[in-house]
Amino acid sequence: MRILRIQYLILLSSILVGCASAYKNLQPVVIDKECIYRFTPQYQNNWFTASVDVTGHHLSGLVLIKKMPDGSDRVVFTNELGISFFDFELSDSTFHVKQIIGRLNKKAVINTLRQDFELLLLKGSTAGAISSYRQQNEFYHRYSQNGKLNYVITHDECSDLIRLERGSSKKRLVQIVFKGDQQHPESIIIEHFNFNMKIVLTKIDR
Amino acid sequence: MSKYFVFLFIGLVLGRPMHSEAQQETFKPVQNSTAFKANFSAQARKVNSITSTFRQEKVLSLLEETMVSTGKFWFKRENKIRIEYEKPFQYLMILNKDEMIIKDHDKQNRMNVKSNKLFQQINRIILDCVQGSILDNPDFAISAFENTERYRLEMKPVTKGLQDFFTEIIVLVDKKDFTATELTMHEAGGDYTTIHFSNKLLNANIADSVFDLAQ
Repeated sequence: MRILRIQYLILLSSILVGCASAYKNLQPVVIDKECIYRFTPQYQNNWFTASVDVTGHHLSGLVLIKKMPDGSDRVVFTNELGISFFDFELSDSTFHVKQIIGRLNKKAVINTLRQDFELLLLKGSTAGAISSYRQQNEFYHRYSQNGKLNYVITHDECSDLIRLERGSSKKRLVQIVFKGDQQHPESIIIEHFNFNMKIVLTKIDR
Repeated sequence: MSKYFVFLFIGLVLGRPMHSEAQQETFKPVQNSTAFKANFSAQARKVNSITSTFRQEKVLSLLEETMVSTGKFWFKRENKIRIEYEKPFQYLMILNKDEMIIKDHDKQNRMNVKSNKLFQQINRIILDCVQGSILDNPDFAISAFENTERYRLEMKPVTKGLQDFFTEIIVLVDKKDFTATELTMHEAGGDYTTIHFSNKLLNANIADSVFDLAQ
């Protein structure tokens, strides 16, 4: 009986921890507002292989992220055979779908991909107020975008990037982590927590 | 979805259509289309296997970007295909009769071609190509041209599913052996992908194990 009670408590604790706010213990700190700008990616023309798993389905392809002369970024997804699935143009204040195949041309799909790549490229991070917080040894630099909160999470106030997140004030919705230098990553992992979706981009050395 | 293109790719490759530097060549319309179709079909039936290398160039016109990839291709009658991208990324596609196998990264997917109507449509393209009857495929409006060395097939998709991806596919066929030497897939935005085939070996013995993922 006692064992059952302990197991119940462990289970309950796990549930509570699982449901706990990811940002509950953020403590405001004052940090240089320029902090996150140094992490703005400068991908000139990087090609990645892409592995996408979404709700039990798997898709692969290639992704090009290219910096344009006007400062915008283009994100192009093709399959291995070269057929373009979508082509997005992102800047700090605008977003344009340059091309997308009919099967993907759905508002929910476009918005999800848009928000993922806006977070990856830190688009819009300069548009509004940035506030900084500390939680244990991590520093969270937060700005709002499209009704959600984006977090640039660093070590030592602003020394190096740990990961990027999008969420509400309580729940973490998306996480982006890098393998290797964030400015020249070997791979980028975009993981959603509110539904089952994971994108892995792996750099192609040409 | 990517499997969709696999089928199309395979179909066209097998078909023995292809080329595009050919845009610099002069072609004239094939005069006797009936004889051409008959000859095309007859020649196709002589090919029981193909091995070749390929070089693929994906051109993003407005972005002035080109992705070049290379790999190997195998075909064996009936309905066995292996396309293996080797550089600068690894990607493997195998069609073995009704089964499609794709391996990318560490993931492996298998599916039955018959389970999907779209796949069936693409499978039809493959079969048409293998049997030399691609010229009768109802999914494309095909115009045939020729010069002394090559045929040029201009294939405009007429079904919405295919039109979603291509505005036109141009295939150049070597008159010596009726196999494809080049394939160019044009997209609406001006981007295109060209696949060049080289080092072709026809009717060599290819082990069935090549079309097994263990290879």
